Amino acid sequence: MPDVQAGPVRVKESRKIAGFTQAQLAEHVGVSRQTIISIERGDYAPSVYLALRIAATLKSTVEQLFPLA
Amino acid sequence: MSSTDSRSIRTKFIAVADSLAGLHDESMGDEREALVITKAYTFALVLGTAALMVCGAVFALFGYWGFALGAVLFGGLQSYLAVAYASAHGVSLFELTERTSPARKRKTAIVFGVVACVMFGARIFQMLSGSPVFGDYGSTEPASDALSESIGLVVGAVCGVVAVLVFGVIQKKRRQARDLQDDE
Repeated sequence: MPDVQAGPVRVKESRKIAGFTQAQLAEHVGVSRQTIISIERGDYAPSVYLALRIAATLKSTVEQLFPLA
Repeated sequence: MSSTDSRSIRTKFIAVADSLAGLHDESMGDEREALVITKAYTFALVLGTAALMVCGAVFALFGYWGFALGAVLFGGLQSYLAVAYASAHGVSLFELTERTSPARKRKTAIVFGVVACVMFGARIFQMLSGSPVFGDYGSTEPASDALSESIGLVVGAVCGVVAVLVFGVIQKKRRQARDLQDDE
């Protein structure tokens, strides 16, 4: 298996640029605010589908939001 | 039974199990919360099973053999259901258990070994003395052939342990042979 590690999550910066609060983003993508907080902290790696929904809402890409190290 | 029937049964079993567990209920929250809930119940199940085993041993020491057997069987039922559910999803818990880290294997063996020894010792004690280790629930005069029965119990237990070990080795060799065939 290739040795790939998750890099710094860039959801927080992208969310602020897009003008969303954590609660608004959570509501848009259908999760709790606590889950958004966990994702922004890097404590929780979302599923592909949730990552795609977040990226679409923030008009970004999964690769930009969740880069590899 | 055809493979289609088998798949249908598995699908129905999973649907019933998920419904009983409420896995698709709103109360499971989003995907992160569902994961945390699943981990929480796994933790509770592991501790609960260990607690049931300990309760079984305590009941045995006091001579409440019906409760002791009930506790052990209920603990076993939980594990059996987990194995059946995983199997319906094509995951073999038996094969994965073989990968358990040595430290975890040691801890599990200690808990189950101590419980088994306590229950076994309590049974032999009661057979020989006629009363449980603690209290006097179900006390009787020791049977005249208590010693030979106790020896029979020990021999039976040793045979059981040997049979389980041999079965485990045979299963492992079969799996290794199957893996080799798959590679070819």
